Amino acid sequence: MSYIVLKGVNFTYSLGEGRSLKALKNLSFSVEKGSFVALVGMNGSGKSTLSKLLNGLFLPTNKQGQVIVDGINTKEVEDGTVKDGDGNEVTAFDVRRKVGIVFQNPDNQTVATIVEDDVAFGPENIGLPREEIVERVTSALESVGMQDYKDRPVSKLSGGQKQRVAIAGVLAMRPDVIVFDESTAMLDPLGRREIMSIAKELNNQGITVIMVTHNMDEAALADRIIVLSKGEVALDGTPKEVFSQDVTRFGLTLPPATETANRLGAVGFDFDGAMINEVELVEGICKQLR
Amino acid sequence: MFKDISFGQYYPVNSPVHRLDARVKLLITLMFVVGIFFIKSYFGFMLTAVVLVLIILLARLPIMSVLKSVKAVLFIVAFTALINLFLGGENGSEVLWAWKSLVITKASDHTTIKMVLRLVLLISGASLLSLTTTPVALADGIESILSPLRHIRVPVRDIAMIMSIALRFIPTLFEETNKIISAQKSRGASFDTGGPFARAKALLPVLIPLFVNSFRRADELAFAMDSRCYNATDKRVKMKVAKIGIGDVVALFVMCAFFTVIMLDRYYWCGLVDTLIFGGLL
Repeated sequence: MSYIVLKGVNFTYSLGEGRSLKALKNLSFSVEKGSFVALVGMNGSGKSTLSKLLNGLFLPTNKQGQVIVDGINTKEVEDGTVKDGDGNEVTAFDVRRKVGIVFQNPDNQTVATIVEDDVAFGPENIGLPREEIVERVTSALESVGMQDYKDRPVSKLSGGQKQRVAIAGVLAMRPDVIVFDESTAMLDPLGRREIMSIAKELNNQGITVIMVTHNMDEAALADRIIVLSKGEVALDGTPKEVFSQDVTRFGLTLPPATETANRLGAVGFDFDGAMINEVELVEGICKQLR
Repeated sequence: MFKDISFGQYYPVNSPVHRLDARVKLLITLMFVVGIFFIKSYFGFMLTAVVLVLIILLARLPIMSVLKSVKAVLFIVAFTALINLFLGGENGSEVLWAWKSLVITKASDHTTIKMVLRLVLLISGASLLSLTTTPVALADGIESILSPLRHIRVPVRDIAMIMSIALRFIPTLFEETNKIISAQKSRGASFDTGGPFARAKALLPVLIPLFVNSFRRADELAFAMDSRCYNATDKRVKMKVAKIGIGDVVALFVMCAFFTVIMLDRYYWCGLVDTLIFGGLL
């Protein structure tokens, strides 16, 4: 079933002096529970704006636009009029507990100096019992492999390690969805691989992953790719479907494997659809060499 | 350029001093600082220095880490010393050296030595707090001490959060400053030539990007905190709760004893101990 639903969402930044910038235009799509979605697009395509809409940090600026997370409309919780089954007020915090975001810059999302204090920040905010906070911090650090660093200052860690701590901070909230908002953009190749394998592992455990990226190799790992261009959905489909199209017109490149396959195609090779990774490419070539 | 500043530089070892409750350490530091301003005799300074060295040994800190913070304010110490040396003399005191209107008297001599001792002990004592206490523990301690002010609507939690974030960003901003300096140097900027005004002016191209970046960082951090449900209400709990232990009681007791001796020395013994120890030397 659809966990996140966007209906006709516009988002306009006000630039002052009556000028404004339309970042998102009439955007509608939904994300299934447990899926791994890559959100790609060139700079200025609106992908970071979109990720902030997914947990209510931003709200659609048009009246009809709606972002619905697990049945909660992010606009309505701001008025304080939404009640759950037991009559308790549903707040923006409930949306943010369900959808966590790992941001781009590892230095600008750490609140505390020491690793475990930072991971505890979220659970502390939602007022969990102390024992549960400790339990969650420990298991979150274990799932990103940072348990040995819990007493270290965050500033002494590498970029990849800092991002792992940031992921642990989001995991400690036990979210249903994690949005990676270009979380690998500032990392070295090793750091990127670490974060991607953690993302994949979390997805296997049932967490919905939304990967905002402009690295096509990372996008190729997803079940579904949504291509944004000028604030609108340009393409939406499996990696195979998306990469068989000409994505360069949206300012994107093809993954190296697809690119290679296309060039081989020009000299007489014939592949079955787009090759999205090296393994497929190698198998495709071997079949034809026989 | 900024590597000498040890403010906010926690020195991570496990020692009895590190384990003390942050509130107790804050209180002890306060007593220590106030105590230093009451000292009038050399005996008092000697006692303070001994206490300080004992604390440093107990905290298993390398003495250099403490002296580093003194080095950072060496200019201020030297400046104060010179002013006191030439202008701190009392009328009627024995003149030791005179040239035109510059006069050093026996009284100004003593004031100067005491002033230097006072400043050095003060800075070392205060730096012990930040060397042995994590910024988070420190902010929590301050929050806890200030918490009664909540009743008169002082936003104590927000203040504590602001403090701990400020401390947390010190290393990040230092790193960034050094990066900007390197970037400007590689484009031919010079930071260590020319007079003080030229040097200050040369720092401007460093400060501007630093400021702009800080605002951008603040913006991003605000989103990150919001998305992790930050609120400064009573709903917020703490993972780590500080408890006053037996060590804290002992530390407070020792500090009270020290404070009492300082007070006795100033108001009751009135330099008697100095005469006993140093005799005719003064």
